[in-house]
Amino acid sequence: MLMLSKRYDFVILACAGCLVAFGLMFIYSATFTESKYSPYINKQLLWMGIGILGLIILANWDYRHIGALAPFLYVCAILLLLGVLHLSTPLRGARSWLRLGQFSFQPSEFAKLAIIVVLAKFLDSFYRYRERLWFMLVSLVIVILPIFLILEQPDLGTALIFIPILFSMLYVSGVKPRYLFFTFLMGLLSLPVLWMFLRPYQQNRLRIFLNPHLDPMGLGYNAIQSKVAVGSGGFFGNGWLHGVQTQLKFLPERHTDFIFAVIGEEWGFVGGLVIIFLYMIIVFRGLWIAEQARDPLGRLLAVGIVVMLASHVIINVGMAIGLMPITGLPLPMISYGGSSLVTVLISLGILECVRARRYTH
Amino acid sequence: MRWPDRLSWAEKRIRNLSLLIAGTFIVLIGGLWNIQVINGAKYQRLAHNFRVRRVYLPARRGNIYDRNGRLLVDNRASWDVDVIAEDVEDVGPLSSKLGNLLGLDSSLVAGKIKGKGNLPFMPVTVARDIGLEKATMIEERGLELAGVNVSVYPRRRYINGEVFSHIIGYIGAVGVEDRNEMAGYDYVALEVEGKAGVEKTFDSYLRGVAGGEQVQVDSRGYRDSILGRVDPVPGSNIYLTIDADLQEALWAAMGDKSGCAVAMDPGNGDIMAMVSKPAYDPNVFVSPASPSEVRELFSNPSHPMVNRPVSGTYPPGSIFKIIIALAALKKGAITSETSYDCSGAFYLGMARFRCWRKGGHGSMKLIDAISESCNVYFYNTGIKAGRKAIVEAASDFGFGTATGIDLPNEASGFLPTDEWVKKTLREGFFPGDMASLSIGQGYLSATPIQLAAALSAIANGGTVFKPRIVRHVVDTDGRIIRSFDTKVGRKADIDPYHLELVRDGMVEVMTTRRGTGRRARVDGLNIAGKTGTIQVTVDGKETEHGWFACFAPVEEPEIAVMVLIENAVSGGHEAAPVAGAFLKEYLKVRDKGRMAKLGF
Repeated sequence: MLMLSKRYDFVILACAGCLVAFGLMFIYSATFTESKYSPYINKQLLWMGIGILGLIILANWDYRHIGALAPFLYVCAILLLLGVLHLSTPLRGARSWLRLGQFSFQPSEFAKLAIIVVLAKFLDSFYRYRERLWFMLVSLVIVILPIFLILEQPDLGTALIFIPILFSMLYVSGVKPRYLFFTFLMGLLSLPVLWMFLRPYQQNRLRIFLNPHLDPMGLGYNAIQSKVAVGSGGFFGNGWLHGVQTQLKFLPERHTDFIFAVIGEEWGFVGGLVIIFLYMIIVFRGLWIAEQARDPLGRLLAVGIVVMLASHVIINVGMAIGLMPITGLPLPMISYGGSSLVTVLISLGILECVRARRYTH
Repeated sequence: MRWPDRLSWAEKRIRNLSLLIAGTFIVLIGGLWNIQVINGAKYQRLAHNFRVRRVYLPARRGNIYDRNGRLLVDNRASWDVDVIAEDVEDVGPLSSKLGNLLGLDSSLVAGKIKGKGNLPFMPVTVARDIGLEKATMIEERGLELAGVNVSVYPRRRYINGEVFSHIIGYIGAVGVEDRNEMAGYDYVALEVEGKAGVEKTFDSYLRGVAGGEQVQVDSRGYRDSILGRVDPVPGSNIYLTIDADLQEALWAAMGDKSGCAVAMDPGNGDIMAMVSKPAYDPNVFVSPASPSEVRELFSNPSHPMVNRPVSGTYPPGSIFKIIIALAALKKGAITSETSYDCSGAFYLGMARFRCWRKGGHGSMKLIDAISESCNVYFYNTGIKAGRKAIVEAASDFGFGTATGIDLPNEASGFLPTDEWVKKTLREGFFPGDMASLSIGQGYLSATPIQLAAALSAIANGGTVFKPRIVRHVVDTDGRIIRSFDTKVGRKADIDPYHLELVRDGMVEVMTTRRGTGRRARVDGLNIAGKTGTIQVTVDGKETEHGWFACFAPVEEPEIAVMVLIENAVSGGHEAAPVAGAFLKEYLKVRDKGRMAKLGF
């Protein structure tokens, strides 16, 4: 046992466990019906089981083998993303889900992790060229294709999350800060052009973000109601199952994208703080693992995974309280959704794996 | 690959990144602090004042029309009162007020509002179908009655319900099993589905899709504004083949007798009218005056809920003699000249089978035998033809198989086939059974609709059509989304000369002095008919039912009528006059239609 705790970080696992458990509580609150039963809980438990299995497998695997699979993973990710564009049936206007019998999953979730692995492998393989310009440019190219496919679905949120991941991984891999800065600037300058490419409803989402009251009956509705829900929780919240806005079922997507509104309303500031702290523990311990990693591959995997988690949390909570535009990103381990849950748990497995091989004096 | 040492620059970068992430989290926490603690009270007020209700908007069920577009079933507005307990300040006084306004016992009202099984924030229906006057009264007092809401729902209305009841059917609440599927919906109790008749078989077209509305209400449950709405999609309308005038005529012709009657167009199988008595008023199911009203219908021993033409099986009796004749002619067992002597009885070995006429009919040939319905003639003929030939001819005319009419619970009737005899009758088919079969009794039964289809085949030269009851399904924009074409069930393989012989016999039934159908005569119309009387045991008692089958005009048949009267003296006595009365009306309707077409 002692040996194990020297190898693995159980604190991260404990926090993750708490988050998943809380997630189940809030999903239940958001979705239970007449019969005091929620069909979502069962599915979430199933995904949890699969995810835990994945976590254990990956934690015991050598991440270098995973790195070696990088080209294969990349091809798989691209194929899945192409597949979902052409083979799936649109749900609310987006082709983001693939159905397998009773279950549906979102390839873009797995694509996130796959791209992190591929990018990490690339940055590690060509480590000695890290100061060159082409090093950065090729990385951009690697990432552009899946981003583009995800944007086609359309899923702006997931596509956007690649930006912080990409930049942090490039930064930590040793790219010259100058290059990064320039790229960032170019990105900013091309925003007006990119705006043209956004679909009208995505443009509206950004407009509403700046002023939700422009359309309180329609798009601004979610934004306003979410903020009201969270705010009305006060310091201690209204109590589990007693969130007024939640129980009135007015918040759409309250078991997925807006689940933080449920947390805010039912557990108040205290609850929200606890949840955020749990995430912060995972994130900063993950960064510590990155520091202690034995090789660039491990380091970059850890950074990519950590930034992925952190970005999700920041964007999702930000969205719920009106600091960020509405994007449709899930709250890791808490939002209902199998693909996200499994991907996050597997990512934590990889993180553990990196820790296991860490450099010890 | 070279494994580098821990570089301080990598460490530094990771630390920088950590700072950035930490900073972002702090901003996030700050945001939370801002809206939950600093501004918490403001948002709480907003939440309290800012409530939203989901309102269920049921779809309008499609209307049902007759073939000429006369409205038979539509929807009317019905006002319901519901209450959300959490919006009510004081249940007691509110219940008294409501009770007084609605004429309900206030403790009952209070009980419903406080009910144990009620979900938080869900409306509880306190009164249904209260009428416009009371609804207006409650709306006017809106401010006094916080938490009370009046909603309008479409309710089914059956115009002249009883007359069309068995064709159209009725609606009722969706079954419990289906409710679990709809677990996401809050207002399951209002969903209805067709339970009988066309309401059931065409339910998927009629029902439409429900919609919903999100309404913002203030803290007193008073409606502020509509936040969003999904319009319900109304159901499609159905046009029947039934002619409402003819249906009413047939209904009137039957008087207060019990039994059934079917009027069919022999040219294409359209059902012009179909009556089953006793019947029921489908409006009872929409707004029952009392719960026992519905229960009574189902427990009534005269079975008003059974659609006799489609679900009732009876021995065809003497009507079947037509089939016997055709079977024998086809087999060559008899010709038009074959004669038998009827002295009132027929002997089969030691057993004696009586003819219904005391003293007998004398010497009979085929046409006379049909006209006077002589049993002795047919005992002889049937036995000579043999069971196999008879069963073959019968199934050729659709006996023994369900017609496939678009109504629920159709029975298939029964024919004593070889298979069945082998499997079930251990001692085989007795001569006595054969004798019974020859006069259309014994191991033989059919539904009135089967008989009507067979009768139409006799009228039109041998085509057994699938009875059609619905013509079109039309959406609310008037576009036909589904048409039902005439369908041929089977073509009977008969010699046209034989058919003519049989038809001549049926004409004599109506025209000669001793023809059994003389009570159905109608001036100005050449009718071909056949009577029948059957002995049956119902609920342990023996009784007789009377049949009458006819079509007219003989030269070019436009309508075929099949009548069954229960507890009758004989077919000729009770069933024939019904057909006669109906055909009189039919002439009037037909001629009015022709005049209309000519522009009068």
